[in-house]
Amino acid sequence: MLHESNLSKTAIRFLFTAVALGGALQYGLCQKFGEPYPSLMMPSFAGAGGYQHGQVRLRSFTALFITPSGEAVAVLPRQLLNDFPDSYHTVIAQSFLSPLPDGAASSRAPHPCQGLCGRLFPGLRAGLGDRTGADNLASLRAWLVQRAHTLMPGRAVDRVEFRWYEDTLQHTSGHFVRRRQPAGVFVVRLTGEPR
Amino acid sequence: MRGRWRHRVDVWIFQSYYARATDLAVYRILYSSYVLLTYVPAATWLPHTPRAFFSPPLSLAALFTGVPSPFLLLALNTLLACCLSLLLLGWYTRAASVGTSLALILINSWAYSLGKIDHDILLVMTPAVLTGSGWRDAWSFDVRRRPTPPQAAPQGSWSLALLALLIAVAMCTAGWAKASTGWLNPATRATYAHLLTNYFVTGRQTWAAERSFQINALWLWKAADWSTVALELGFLYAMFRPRTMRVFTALACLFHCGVWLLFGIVFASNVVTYGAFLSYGNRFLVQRFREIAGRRFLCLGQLPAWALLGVTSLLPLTALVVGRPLGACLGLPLDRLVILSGAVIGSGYLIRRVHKIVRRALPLRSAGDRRAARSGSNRSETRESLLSRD
Repeated sequence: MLHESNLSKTAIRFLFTAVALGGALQYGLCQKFGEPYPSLMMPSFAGAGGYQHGQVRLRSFTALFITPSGEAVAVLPRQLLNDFPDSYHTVIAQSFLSPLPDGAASSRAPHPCQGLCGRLFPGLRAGLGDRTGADNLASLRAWLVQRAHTLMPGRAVDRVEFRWYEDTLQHTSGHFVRRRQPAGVFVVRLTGEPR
Repeated sequence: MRGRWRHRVDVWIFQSYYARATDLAVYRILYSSYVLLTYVPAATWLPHTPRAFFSPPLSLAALFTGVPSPFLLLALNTLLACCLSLLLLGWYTRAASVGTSLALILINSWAYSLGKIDHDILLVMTPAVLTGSGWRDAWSFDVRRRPTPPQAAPQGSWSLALLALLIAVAMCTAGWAKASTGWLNPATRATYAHLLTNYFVTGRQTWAAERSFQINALWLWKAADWSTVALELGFLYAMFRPRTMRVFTALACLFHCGVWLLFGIVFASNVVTYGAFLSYGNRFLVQRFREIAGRRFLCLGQLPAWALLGVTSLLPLTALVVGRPLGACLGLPLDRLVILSGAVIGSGYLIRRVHKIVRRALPLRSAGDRRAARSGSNRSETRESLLSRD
C-alpha cells in the first residue's frame, strides 16, 4: 500500500528517471560552467590537497593595512572577513584578494558564456571576470575603508596589501617545519581618510 | 528480460522503503524546527557585500548583475518562515513542503552568489521530495480536515526511495571527484593534506587535529582516504536496500562527527536529511507519547489553526527582527547537537546490527533462540518486523 499520492506510477517512474538523467546533465554543466546551483553535489575536496613526497604545499595570505607614515598593521584573514560566514573566507580570499595573474595591471576575462547565454546570465562569475573594473574596484575600496574604520578606528590607511605566500610544511620529529616563499601581492589603494 | 528489470525497479521504488505516518510526522516536526531555529533569517549579510565579490555560479542569481536589496531578502525570509511554520503545524503541508524547498533555493541562490556553495542541497530538497510521503498523515492539522483517518501501519514510501537516490547521486559526485583526483593513489595523503590546510590556512585549529598530526602512520591516513571514497561511492549500492542504506547513513553520521572533531566543520544538514530514514520509537512508545501529547495538546488542538500559526510564526518573526537565527540568539549549539545525536544514534544502530550478526554466527545459542531463529527464517519479513528491527 502506498501513501496517498496524486502522482501515477508512471509519473513517479518518470521522476526517478529524471533524477538519474539530471545527474548526467549536471555533470555536463559542471564541465562547461563550473558547479551550478541548485545541483546535487557534495563537497568534493578534490585533489591530494597539495601533498607531495611527504610535504604539503599551502597558499595563505596576510592583510596589511598600511598607514600614510608607512606603518603596517597586520590583520588576520578571519578578522578581515568577519562579515561573512566562515565557510566563505577561503573562496573570497582566493577569488577576489589574490594577486592578479603574472602581475598584470588589470584582470578582464571574457564572459564565461557568449551569445544568448551571456545575455541571459550577465552576472555569471561577474566579479571574477572583471576584478579591476571601475565599479568593482570602487566597491572593494569602500568595503576596505569600512573595515579599516572598524578594525583600526581613528587611524588613516593609505593602502591595503594582500601578501600571499606559498608555505611548505613538513612534519619532522614531532613538529612542523614551515618554509615560506612569497607568492605575490595584491594592492588596493584607499584614498582619503577612513570615514 | 526487460520486464524482469522493470519489475525489480518497481519493487525498489514502490515496495522497498516503508515508513509509519507517525515516524514521518515526527521527522516533519524535527526538520521544520531545526530549519526554523538555524536558517531563518538567511543571508542577512548579503546586502552589505561589495559588488566586487558578486560572482554567482550558474544559478538564478546569475540572471542579475548585483546583490539583491534588503527588502527582497526580507520577503524571501518571510516566505520561508511562513512555509516552515505551516510545515511544523502540518497545515497545508503539501504546499508548505514545496514552498519551503523553493524558498530555500531562492535564498541560497543569492547567498551563494559570491561563488561559494555550501552543499546543503539535500536539506533543501528534502521537503519537496517528502511532499507525497505521508508526513502530513499524523500530528497535523491536515489530518483533522480529512474525513477518514490515515492508516497507522507502515506503508510503502516511494518518496524515501527518491530521497535515497538523491543522497546517493550527491554523495557519488563527491566520491568520484576524490577517486579521480588522487585520493586512491597509495603515495598521497589527501585527508592529511586537507587537514593541514584547514588547520594552518583556514584557522580551524581543533584539539583532535593537533593530536592526529602526531600520527605519522601512512597506512592510517591512507585508510582514511580510501574509506571516505568507499563510503561516498557506496551509497550508490546502498540505496537499493533500505537496511544497507541505514547502515551507510549511520556510518555517514559517524563520518560527519569525525569531520567536526578533526576539521571543525559542522556539516549538520546531511545528518538532518538522514533522519528521514529513522524509526522514531516502537509502537508502544509512539502510542504512549500520543496519549501524553493528546492530554497536553488538548487545549492547543481545539484552537483554530490560524491562531496556532500566528503563535508559531512569532518565532521566526522574532529572528527576522533580531537579524540572527533564533538558535544563535539563544546560544543553542543546534548544529553540534544534531551531529552528536546522529553519531550516538548511528553508533547505537551499528552496534545493534553487529550484535545481531555475531549472535547469528555464534554456534552456541539457547533453545529459545534457536526456535526463534527457525521461525524467523521460515517467516517472510513483514513490514512490521523490518521497522521494529531497524
